[in-house]
Amino acid sequence: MHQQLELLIMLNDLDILVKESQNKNMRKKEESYGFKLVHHSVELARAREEIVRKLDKNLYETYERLMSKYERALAPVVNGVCYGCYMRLPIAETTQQNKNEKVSTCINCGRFLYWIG
Amino acid sequence: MKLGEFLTEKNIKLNLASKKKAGVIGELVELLSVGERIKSMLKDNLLKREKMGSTGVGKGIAIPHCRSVLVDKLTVIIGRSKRGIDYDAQDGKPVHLLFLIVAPPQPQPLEYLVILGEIAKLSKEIVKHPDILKIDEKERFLNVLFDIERKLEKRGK
Ligand SMILES: [Zn+2]
Repeated sequence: MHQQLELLIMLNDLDILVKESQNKNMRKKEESYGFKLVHHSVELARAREEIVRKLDKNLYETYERLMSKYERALAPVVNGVCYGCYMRLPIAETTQQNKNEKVSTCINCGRFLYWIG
Repeated sequence: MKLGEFLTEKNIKLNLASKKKAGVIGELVELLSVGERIKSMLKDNLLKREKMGSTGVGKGIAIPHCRSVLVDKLTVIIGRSKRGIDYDAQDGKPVHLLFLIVAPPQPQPLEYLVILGEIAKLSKEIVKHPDILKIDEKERFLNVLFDIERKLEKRGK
């Protein structure tokens, strides 16, 4: 997997984790199951900084722009369909080899893509 | 939910070797059918979730969980340690039984939250069956688990 794509995935998963823990409904649900959640983790803030430091500046700007627009900046592609906007991606892209060896975006919604299978 | 839809003998490790949280989560992630690099990223994710608050919910049970774009279906892995794991649990007690859940971001959080809730409910019932800590055959272990689930469902209806 492309190193920058790896960083984008780690960043997005981390941001969603923190965002959801701050979401009132999600929080209530988890707490009702017996989980306890902190309001802020210094360690996670530091982990985020560490990821951003290694991430290409332009990619990070695009990432932030996508995050202000969508819930997630990164979408999995399953069977040739972008799971961000549910559009089928062009054959020219879906038939390429080693699709996760570069950073690609959806031609329809612009989200970064992670190809599954 | 039917646990049977998610659990087979392949998803169980009855004798965890590690005594610490990170090691145990690593052992459980090993059972996922994904590549090595993905495993290591998922482990990292699960440990980050632990920083938000330990998923050791008490009474010897832990439910480490995360969602990631790296997986395309919800998977549950069960681990057990007779000796107990130093897990920084809410009640400070060692953890003996773990339900690890990894789920994709889609479909919306709903499926994931429902299963997380079901397993949390189930785990409260399991602590009333301490014999589950002694079973050495995966098949029997699963059957006892499914039995508990069935009883729980009956009572709910
Ligand atoms: Zn798209």
